[in-house]
Amino acid sequence: MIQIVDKPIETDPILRAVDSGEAGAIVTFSGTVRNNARGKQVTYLFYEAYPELAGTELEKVRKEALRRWPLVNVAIVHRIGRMEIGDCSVFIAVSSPHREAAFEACRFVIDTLKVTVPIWKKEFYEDGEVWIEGYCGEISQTSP
Amino acid sequence: MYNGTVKVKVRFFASLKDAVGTGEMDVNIAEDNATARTVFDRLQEQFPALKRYEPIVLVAVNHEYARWETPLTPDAEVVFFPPVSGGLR
Repeated sequence: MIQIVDKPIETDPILRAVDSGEAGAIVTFSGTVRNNARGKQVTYLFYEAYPELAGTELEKVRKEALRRWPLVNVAIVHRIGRMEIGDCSVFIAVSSPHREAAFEACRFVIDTLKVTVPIWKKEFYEDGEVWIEGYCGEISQTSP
Repeated sequence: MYNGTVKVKVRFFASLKDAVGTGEMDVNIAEDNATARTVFDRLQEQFPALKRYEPIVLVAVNHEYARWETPLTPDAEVVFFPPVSGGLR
């Protein structure tokens, strides 16, 4: 299961999607909106995806996890749009016969999608907003 | 490779969209053997705010990661976007 949604993520259907009689473990990761970043108070976040390519890249990460570990199933759901503090922005569920593979694969999925899947977040503060993108310092992008 | 004018659809995401002021536009390139580079060069002239993105911008053609030298066919969709952040582990 791969989904990009613009509404709150419902986790029950994701867990059902990876559950199976063959699975002895389901490991999940929930990425949530934190109230601070770079020493500033964050008021809310906005996530934007390049949807066509993000879908393809999420599927690649899922397939690579299934290839590397003896898993039963992998589900990845990413939310886009405005999110408040505490909201879930990404939910991953990995099922496997034994727990070690599910733990390792779940970590691989979140670490990999963070660098390969074209989804960006914009942090909003009391006094401004900044796109969080993949380069270090050269380009300052504080918006007015 | 195509000779003559090609019309391509161009899209931008995240801070590039802010830099250009729109997420989508049609661009006519009256140049033989146009590539993704041709389009970005043309856009930089029109939108100087794009210049600083040149070292890091990523490009997709028809929804697959592409290279600067990727040739453009008529009605191709060319998308320019920043790298993703990676986040802190």
